[in-house]
Amino acid sequence: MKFSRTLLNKVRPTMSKVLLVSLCLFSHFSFAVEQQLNKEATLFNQTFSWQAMMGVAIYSANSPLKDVQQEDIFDYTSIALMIDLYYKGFFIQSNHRRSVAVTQGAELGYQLHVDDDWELDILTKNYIVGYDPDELIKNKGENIPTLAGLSEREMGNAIAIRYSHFNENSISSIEFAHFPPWSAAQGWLIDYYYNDLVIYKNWDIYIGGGVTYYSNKVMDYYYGIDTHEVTQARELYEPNAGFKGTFEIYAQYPISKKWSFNAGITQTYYSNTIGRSPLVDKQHITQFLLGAFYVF
Amino acid sequence: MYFKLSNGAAFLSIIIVAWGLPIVSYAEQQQQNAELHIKPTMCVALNQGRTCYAQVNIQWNTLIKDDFCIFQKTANQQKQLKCWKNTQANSLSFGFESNESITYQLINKNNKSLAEATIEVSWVHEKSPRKRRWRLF
Repeated sequence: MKFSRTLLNKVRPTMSKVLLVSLCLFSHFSFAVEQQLNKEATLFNQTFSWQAMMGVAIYSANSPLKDVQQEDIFDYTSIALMIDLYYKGFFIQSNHRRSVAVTQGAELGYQLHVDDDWELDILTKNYIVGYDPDELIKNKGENIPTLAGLSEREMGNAIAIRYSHFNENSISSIEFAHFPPWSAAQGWLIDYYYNDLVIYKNWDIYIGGGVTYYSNKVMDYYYGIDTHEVTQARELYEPNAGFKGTFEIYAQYPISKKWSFNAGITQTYYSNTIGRSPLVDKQHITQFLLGAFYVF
Repeated sequence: MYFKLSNGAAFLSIIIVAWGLPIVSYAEQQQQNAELHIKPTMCVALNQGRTCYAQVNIQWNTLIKDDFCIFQKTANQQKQLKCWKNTQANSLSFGFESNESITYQLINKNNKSLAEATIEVSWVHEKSPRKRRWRLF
């Protein structure tokens, strides 16, 4: 279970804000990747495993959306509280190895099978960060023609089956996710990710990369322009399937028993079908993060 | 005569011993005032059980010159790090690598510990009985 908010925008899940929060949470992922759930509490004779962390971070994160960028100091800072819970195979947690996934919030799931070197889960989580065009325009303080009058793109919560394979210090996983009928977004996606931990003295350095493939319907909802949304600045666009590739390096270093420092860089590439959307003007996004975390 | 000599020798011995005792105890007393300073005093790793790395500096001094050694002591072993002859103060720098706390002792030539300091090894995250996984648990 994760609660996060920016200083500037505490409620509206605009893309930039969520990105901000997610980048902050990104700092959590490696932080937690090596850390194990180390707290247990007994309630009504049942043992729950839990862990809580709070983080502060500064980051630089461009949005692929046209004319959307970080505006002030609050857009560059973030405070986040992360609480993970586990009980008899059920879990509420953040994905701790992946910045993009972590940025999109916690996941709720159940371990279908757990083996020495692989695991099968069923889960639901947010796969795509949505955005509210009105909120983005309000935050910028001036009109953004490509977003004016555009319908909100809600967060993409999907139900997925995930297969994970574990080696000594590396993890690879593939998720098949489908958006449920009640979701604003429809369609499916496949997400593959690989992450390797390199230990150098007291540093933990995570090197990872992945590809997310989006079906036509997913692409249409997030990057397409419907007929009723067409304006002079926004022509009709019906995209085909697309993908996003991510490469990231993340490092953490212990400061004290309760604090650790973390830093990361993430490079994201969006496919041409995304890049051709009237809403988008950047296909390459680089994100930087510096932060510190307090472990309860 | 013999009795007298014997008494005299005994008296002389007592005098010598009495004279010598304060000298020995004074020397040891001087050594008892030995100081050993170590930086840092704590090494923090990210996870329990992980080897912790630090650049350590030890400084020691006594009130008199003598032969001294620095030993490191863990729960299972004691190891000599460095020795100095006829020295009153010195320092030692080295790379610390351990997953457990280590005590450093200043030892004199009589193998007596004069001062000691400990580098505590700690961690941010406790070890879990659960197998290391993708996620926390």
